[in-house]
Amino acid sequence: MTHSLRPKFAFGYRIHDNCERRAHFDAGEFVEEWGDFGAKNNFCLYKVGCKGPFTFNNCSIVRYNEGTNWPIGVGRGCIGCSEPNFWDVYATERPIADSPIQPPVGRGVEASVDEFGLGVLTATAVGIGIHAVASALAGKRDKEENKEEV
Amino acid sequence: MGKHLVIDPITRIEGHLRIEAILDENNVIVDAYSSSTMWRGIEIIMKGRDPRDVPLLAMRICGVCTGTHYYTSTQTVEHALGVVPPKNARLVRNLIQGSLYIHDHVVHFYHLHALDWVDVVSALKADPKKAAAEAKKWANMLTDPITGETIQPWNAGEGAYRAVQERLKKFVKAGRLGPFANAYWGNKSYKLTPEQNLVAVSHYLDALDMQREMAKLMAIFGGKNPHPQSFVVGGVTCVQDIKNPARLGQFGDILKKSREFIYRAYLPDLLMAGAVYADEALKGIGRGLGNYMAYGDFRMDDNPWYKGKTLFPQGVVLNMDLSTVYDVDQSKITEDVTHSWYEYDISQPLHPFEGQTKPKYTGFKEDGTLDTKDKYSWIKSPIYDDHRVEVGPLARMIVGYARGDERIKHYVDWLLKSGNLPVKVLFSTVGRTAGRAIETAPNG
Repeated sequence: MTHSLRPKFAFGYRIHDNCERRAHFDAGEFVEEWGDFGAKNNFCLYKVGCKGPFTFNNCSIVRYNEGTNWPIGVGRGCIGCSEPNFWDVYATERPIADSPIQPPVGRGVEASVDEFGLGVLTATAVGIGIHAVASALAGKRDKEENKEEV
Repeated sequence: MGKHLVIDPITRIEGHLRIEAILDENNVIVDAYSSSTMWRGIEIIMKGRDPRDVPLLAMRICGVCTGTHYYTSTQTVEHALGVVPPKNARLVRNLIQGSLYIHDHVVHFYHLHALDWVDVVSALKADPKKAAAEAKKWANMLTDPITGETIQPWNAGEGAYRAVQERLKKFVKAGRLGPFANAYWGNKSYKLTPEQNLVAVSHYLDALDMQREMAKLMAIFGGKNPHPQSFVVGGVTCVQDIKNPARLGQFGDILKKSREFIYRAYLPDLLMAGAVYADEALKGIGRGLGNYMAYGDFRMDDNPWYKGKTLFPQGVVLNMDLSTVYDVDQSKITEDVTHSWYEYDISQPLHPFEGQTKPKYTGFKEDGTLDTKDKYSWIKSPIYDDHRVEVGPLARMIVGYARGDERIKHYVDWLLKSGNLPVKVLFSTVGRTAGRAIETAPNG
């Protein structure tokens, strides 16, 4: 299982690891804006906001609708729709550098799902601490609300 | 003393719906309320976002009418920015939108709606040979509007129906009805004969396969179904798929196969259901308020969104009066929250441009039923110039028909004439279902 308790066979790899446009990433060939030379030649979509390097899923292997196509296939890039907090940190047309999500400390986009998970867990632990304090403060109010519901 | 009936959730729809009906001593429904029991909050999620990101997020309000919110919000941002997408982008968007119509209407007819009309268990009593004749009868009523050939049934042989029956028997014998569990089988409002039920059930099962193929239509240029991803503000990104003849060929092949199914199974079944339930349709059962509005759909030229010609025309028809069509004036649209779990700063309906989304959940009454005197649903109540209007497939067909749109008139008349039904039949539940089918026919 991964850090978010999903099976590794499906969620153990980055979209980026098996992407058909990976060679263009490695070669530094990017789509810079929609409709440019790169867009017409299937260049890497990282700079137009592809979240493939931060998304753990098997879309790049199985694709969609019995393998018919997938978002990177239609030149749009991944929006990390299966990642936690997708709404707030992933679904943007901006590159990752301009996005609130940052690479885990260490090996960046090369980090494995386990290393990535460790980063998330640390963040979660901090979050839990904050939550505990917030809950204690909100406790009285919660009790009152529960009472109303009964 | 009457009864208070609660059905929650209503299944075989998208979303979360609760119905409460008030029955009198004679078990006749005297009043009914519907409530959407889940709040999506998309408007709040959108606040402060980059407009370019909005379409991808807005689309996620629904996974069934998938893509259509994507298309509309993309166009909205383009409208605001004064952007006109290139011709190829317009064509590809139309193909993706058209593929939604085909997929969605077939799924709706068979997998969501059919079991209100089709008694699956009754199909076990059918004579497969007679079922084959029945299927032929309804298919043969239609002629292909393009080639003029008589339509032949999707499943022609007795053997096909026998096989479906065997499959059904196994379901029943195992005690696991699967998708057919917990229904009102045997209820007297089911009117199809066992043979007709068997024909419809065979198509229900085949449609499970067909809808999988139809979903691919969207995926070819959209990337996936549900939630295509190839629209951006200003155009589409699927350049390599547009340029690839193999992709175009694949689209054509699936479209052809879909058309076969639509003409040989879907439309004949619709005629069959329409004829069997014609009395209900003529009585106008389920017709709603009789006000219809369409915004227009499928861009036919490269003028800006709000000025261009559309395949389906825009308009408003009031009180089922087909002789007058009003132009849609968006400034007349408002949303009321008197009975919705929201509050406004002022106590009057607001135009969406001035719209507010401030949740105010007041819960249910003490006995667990809807507080219908106050707030009871998460859906705002849309109003057009003081009218409540119906939108959707039937509205599009009725507005097109009333406008005298040649293509829509041709298909509406063609289907109604084939089933020997008057136009009046459209103002009913049967008509709403027919509206979907009629709309699918030219798409296929």
